[in-house]
Amino acid sequence: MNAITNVLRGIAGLFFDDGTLALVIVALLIATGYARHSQWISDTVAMSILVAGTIAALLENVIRFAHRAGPS
Amino acid sequence: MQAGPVAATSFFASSVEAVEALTIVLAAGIVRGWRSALIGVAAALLLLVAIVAAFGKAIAEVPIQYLQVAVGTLLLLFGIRWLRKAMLRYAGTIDLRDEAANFIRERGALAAATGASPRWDAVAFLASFKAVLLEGIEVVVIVIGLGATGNRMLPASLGAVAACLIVVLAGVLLRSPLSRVPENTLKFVVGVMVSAFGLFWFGEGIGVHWPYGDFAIVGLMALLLVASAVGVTIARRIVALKRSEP
Repeated sequence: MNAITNVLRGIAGLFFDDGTLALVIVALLIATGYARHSQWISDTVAMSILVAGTIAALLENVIRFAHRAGPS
Repeated sequence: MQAGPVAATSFFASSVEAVEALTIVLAAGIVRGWRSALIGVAAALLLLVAIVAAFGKAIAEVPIQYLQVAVGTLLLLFGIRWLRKAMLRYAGTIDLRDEAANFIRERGALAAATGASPRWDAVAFLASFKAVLLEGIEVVVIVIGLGATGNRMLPASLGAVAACLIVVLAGVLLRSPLSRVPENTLKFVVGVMVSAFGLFWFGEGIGVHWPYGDFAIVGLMALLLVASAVGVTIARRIVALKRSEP
């Protein structure tokens, strides 16, 4: 049973190493997808939100982690 | 245009996974015996083939737009995870992965475990099975993610198979973990590539028309590369400042 739990945990870990970053990315994708689907935003705006949002979320996470963790 | 980048991304990503799996299988085989370790590898490979067959059939039924959204999301989560880890390693906030050290650690843990019989060793079986299954699932996700949406399953599969064969061959010849593989650089580059594919597919799925069509993937890679390099520089400065604090 432990082995199965470990394997399942390992599979989940393939996508969710840092829960906060994964949640922010998923939220960004859902919001952009919904807004584009409802035609609230144009092609260009959706593209910009996707790219800029992903980069911003990544940089924020890495910089926050560097502040928190310090040198190894 | 996409066949080359798809095969290259699949090759580099799969080589990283194969190196990680090889380290554990080598440790299990050397310490606990090859028979059970290789049976573990074979069992994991069989399960992976079953997973690919099941997903392959299911994927054919899914409308392309939904597939692009699902695959784009998975690839982006997958790629960003690798990119983040590689950036933090470059910045010095987490240790670089050392396959030689991992091999020694695995070997120690496996040697300490009890319960082996001359014919069957459950520890060796489970260690090899788990390593090949988990790393293999990563390869499967990459191959399906890169290949399914753009009808590029062949280059994606060939890239992955070539990577696994080369790594296994090198492992058999050297009989030691491949510690000279620049794993963090590979993870950084692959993280950028996979994330770019993820963003592209998700965008296509929600109806975005990228400028210059498929070539936008190269632009996305360049953007992510520059942004990540900037992120590493900033994180390094933060770490340096922390080190200089009394």
